[in-house]
Amino acid sequence: MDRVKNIIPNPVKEMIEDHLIKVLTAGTYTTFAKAIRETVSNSYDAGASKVDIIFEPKELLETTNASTTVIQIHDDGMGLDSADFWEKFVSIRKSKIPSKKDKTTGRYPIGQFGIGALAFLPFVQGLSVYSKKTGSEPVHGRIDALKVMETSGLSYADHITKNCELSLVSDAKWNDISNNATSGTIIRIDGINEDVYKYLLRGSPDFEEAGIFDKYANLTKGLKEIMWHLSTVLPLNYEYDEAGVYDSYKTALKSINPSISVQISSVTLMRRIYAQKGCKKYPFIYEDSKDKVKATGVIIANPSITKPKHANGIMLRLNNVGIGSFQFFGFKGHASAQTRITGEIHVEGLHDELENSRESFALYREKFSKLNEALMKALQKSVTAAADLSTKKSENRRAQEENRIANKITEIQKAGLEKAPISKGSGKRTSPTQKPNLKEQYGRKTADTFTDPIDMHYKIRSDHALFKKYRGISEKETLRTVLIAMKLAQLPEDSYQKVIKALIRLKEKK
Amino acid sequence: MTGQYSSPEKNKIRTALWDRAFNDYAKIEKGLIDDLRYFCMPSAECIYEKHLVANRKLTKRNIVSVEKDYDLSIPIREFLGGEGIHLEDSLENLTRQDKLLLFSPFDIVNLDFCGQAFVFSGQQYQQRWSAIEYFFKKNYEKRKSVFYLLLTIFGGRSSSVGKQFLLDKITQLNDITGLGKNPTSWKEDRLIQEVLPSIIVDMGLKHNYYTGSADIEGYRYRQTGHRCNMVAFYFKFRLLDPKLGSSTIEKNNLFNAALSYYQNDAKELTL
Repeated sequence: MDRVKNIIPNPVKEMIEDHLIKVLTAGTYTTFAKAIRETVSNSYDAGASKVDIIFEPKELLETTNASTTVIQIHDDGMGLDSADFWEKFVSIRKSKIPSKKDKTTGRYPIGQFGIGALAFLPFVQGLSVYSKKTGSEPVHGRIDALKVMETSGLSYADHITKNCELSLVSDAKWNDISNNATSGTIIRIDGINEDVYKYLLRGSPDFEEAGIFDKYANLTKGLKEIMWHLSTVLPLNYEYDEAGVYDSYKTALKSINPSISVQISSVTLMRRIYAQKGCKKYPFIYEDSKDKVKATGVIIANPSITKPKHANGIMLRLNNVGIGSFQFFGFKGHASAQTRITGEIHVEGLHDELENSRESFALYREKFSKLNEALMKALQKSVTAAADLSTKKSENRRAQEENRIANKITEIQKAGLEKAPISKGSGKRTSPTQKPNLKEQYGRKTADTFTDPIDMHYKIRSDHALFKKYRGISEKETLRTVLIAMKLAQLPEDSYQKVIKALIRLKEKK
Repeated sequence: MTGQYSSPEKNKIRTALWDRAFNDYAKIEKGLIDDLRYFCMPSAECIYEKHLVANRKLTKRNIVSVEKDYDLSIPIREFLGGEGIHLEDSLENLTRQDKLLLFSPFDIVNLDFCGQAFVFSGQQYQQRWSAIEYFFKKNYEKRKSVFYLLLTIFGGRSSSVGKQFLLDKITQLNDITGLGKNPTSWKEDRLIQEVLPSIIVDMGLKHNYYTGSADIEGYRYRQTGHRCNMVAFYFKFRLLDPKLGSSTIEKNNLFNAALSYYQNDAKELTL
């Protein structure tokens, strides 16, 4: 039988009265995705090597509602005992010192404020935690999130203890719930608010999900967005990239902080370098011994637009954690070439240069400003390279297209159409050496009947025999080939003027 | 609680009855594992479900599980990993509210109840039968041509009304089959085991599903370390072909044919 007893909390050390509520409502954690990130960061700081986050599958999420939605987070970290629950889980500890390695975990802390799972409070209805620390009895804590978020006039410590419960659980129960884990923490969210529920289903309006976790049918758009965010910022392992950038630049991309494994709904998150085959790679090395700042990484100029579009830019990582999103830090170059840039840079020694939100570095701070200058130069170089690559690519493409058209023309000529003199201006056919055999060539019922391949709106009649015969790789190529074929066949001037017009309109559209 | 469901007896039931359903689905019905939708009420350890995923390559996305206990749901959700569907409520509530509709039809329905079924006093136990019947209804709505029902219930603790019901059923079965089985010396689990298939067959026919004695198999058993007897069954059901007819007479014939299971003595599990 489970032994359950209420634990009277010890006086909570270093709690800041009402600070938690203020922090939570001040917009520090403005999104649910960031709350998840903070919880995972906390697991990391607790020495976890694996974190599993389990959402309801899409099929269920679409049919359920906010109040019955359950989310679970499992980690294999050090866990909590009863004292830890009050002193760590439901309190804000002093800000962790990210520049100082934790002796127990051997890691530089990455969680902000030590707020951990409490970051969920603005978004959820109920929060429950099971945890076991090696050598201690497992505990079960329940937090009434809705009540905690209300102001009560009580001191923080009283407010929290009034709205939280803690009990011990038996080892047998812990073993059943945790699959016999020796230590770890399980957080269970029971019910989320309506906005978060809608977000989970639909994501943000400006988030483009194309190319992001496409092969997973059980993921909603919101979930993909969360996974995208976490896969770009958390300390994860790099996965294979088709351009082999990670393999070539392992040393430059190595961090002082180890990586952990994070799964969301059975999908393992990996960090990726969005380099394409044929890209140009620019290693980035920066060191300022006076300021004790280092930065190493790689900037990539892709041959075409970086995909997904959210990976366009450079990601700076501190302690192996992404700061903000992929961005250009104020750089503005050749617009089209800039869309081809991506990259990763690991920095050290810039902890003091972070803004409070930890979403960006403060450009007005000297150390970062110097690094930024070096970054601008590197970006200029890579954007120029991207522009060159793009030009070369266009030239190649044009040359290939000309080749294909030339081959088709040769075919047409071999088929027996002689090159007749082209009338100038009059639009009338000059005496041809051979009248075009429209019936034979284009399958018309009578030789004199010819239907324009372009309709009155300058759109291609795709079932027209000409287009069937001379279809190219692109609409432009097709039109150009058809135009030449019509000219060679001395088809009516006004017909191929229409084709020319269609070509012009195509160019204007682009 | 740990190890409660990993006894040799339970493992034998899984092999003899539950695996039979999966084998039949694959080999006789030529069903594809990717298409198989499986309904279950797993234990916290998800022993059988883990075996299905690991060894039979059952897709987690096609698992629909139910468990009403908050704590026990945690490891089940962890196992399903956000791919399978887990509903946290009693089966009786879920079926009463028709909450399984969107996930039906099911190819294999595994109702591994811990509790008794022949109490007949109060809503709770009648709802268990409604819950079983629900699966026939939902599968019929989607015209599921073949499905398997695996049913495990507690072989005892029937109320006096329930026990009398079972005895009356034995009399009825004796009349229909011409056999003269004498239940006087039977323990309750045997009584349940002899009667239950006739109830399920009848329920199936009501919803246009039929089975035959060759497609019914059951055992009574007691798990090592337990004091309670359980009875477990395998049924395979086919949708009644309209050509065969679904008139009362035809259904009666099918019912009588299925009752040939009663000719044999109900089996006790041996390891």
